[in-house]
Amino acid sequence: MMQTFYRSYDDIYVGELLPRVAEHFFVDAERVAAFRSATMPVEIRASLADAPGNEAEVPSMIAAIYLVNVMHSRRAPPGGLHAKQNFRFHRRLRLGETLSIQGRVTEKYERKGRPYVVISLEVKSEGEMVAEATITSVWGQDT
Amino acid sequence: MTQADAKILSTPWGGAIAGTEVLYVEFTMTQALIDRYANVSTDRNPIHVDPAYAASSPLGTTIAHGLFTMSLVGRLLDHWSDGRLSTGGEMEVKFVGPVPVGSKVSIRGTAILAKSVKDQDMVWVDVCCAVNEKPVLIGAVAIPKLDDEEEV
Repeated sequence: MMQTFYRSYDDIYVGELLPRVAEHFFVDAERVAAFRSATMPVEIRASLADAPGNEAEVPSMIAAIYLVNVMHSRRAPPGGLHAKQNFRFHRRLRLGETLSIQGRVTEKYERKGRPYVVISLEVKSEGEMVAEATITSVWGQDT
Repeated sequence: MTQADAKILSTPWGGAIAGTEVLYVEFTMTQALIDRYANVSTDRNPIHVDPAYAASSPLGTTIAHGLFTMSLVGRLLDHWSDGRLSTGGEMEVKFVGPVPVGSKVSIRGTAILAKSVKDQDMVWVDVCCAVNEKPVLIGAVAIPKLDDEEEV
């Protein structure tokens, strides 16, 4: 059985890059369509008074699913909580572009007995900043 | 989930008035919706997708991903603002409660006074996602205005 190596709260340090090398994601039509369908269910879309929007446009919220892959690099223990989330969109994403995503631990603190970690991420395309995100989470219980 | 379960009221972007509700959506969070988001996000944490596993958790049932709920809010407001959120907006939310499968979920957005951020006029929308009227997600969304648009 594969052993999973979780990192303890004490292991994480401010300034640490996560992942150490930026991960890359291709904005492909299939995944964009799946995201559009999943996050604007037909049951809701059909009730909107006006048109559902340009099907060729990439919803910027798709950045959320690329972040999941990056967050796995934290190797946080189970039992943690996603406390806060911030997104800043600089421009709309485009089909066919490749995104580079990397985060940095910017803060650690304890509040009401819970250990918090804040990670700020940059989403770039060929060096251009296209979005930024900040994730605040309660670190899972160290095993 | 049938169309009849979804109820939406929306105020067209250009008609937003400070202090008024610009968006209200109600729907039922089903396992099918959660599974669809899990597949596209690749976040298949069993608390979201495994009812048998979730049954032994403190909540006793599967719950929706926080980012799924946030994505719903973002998509609805991007739609409401004719895509302006995606082209220079910002969202900040706190996750203050779980969304269990089978919940009746409401998403409410209320426009507040326009504010200028770094010389860019923005419309701010307070957002609240609730389950049985208990907030599960709260936050604010800032959407850039175009130069020739009327004041909110």
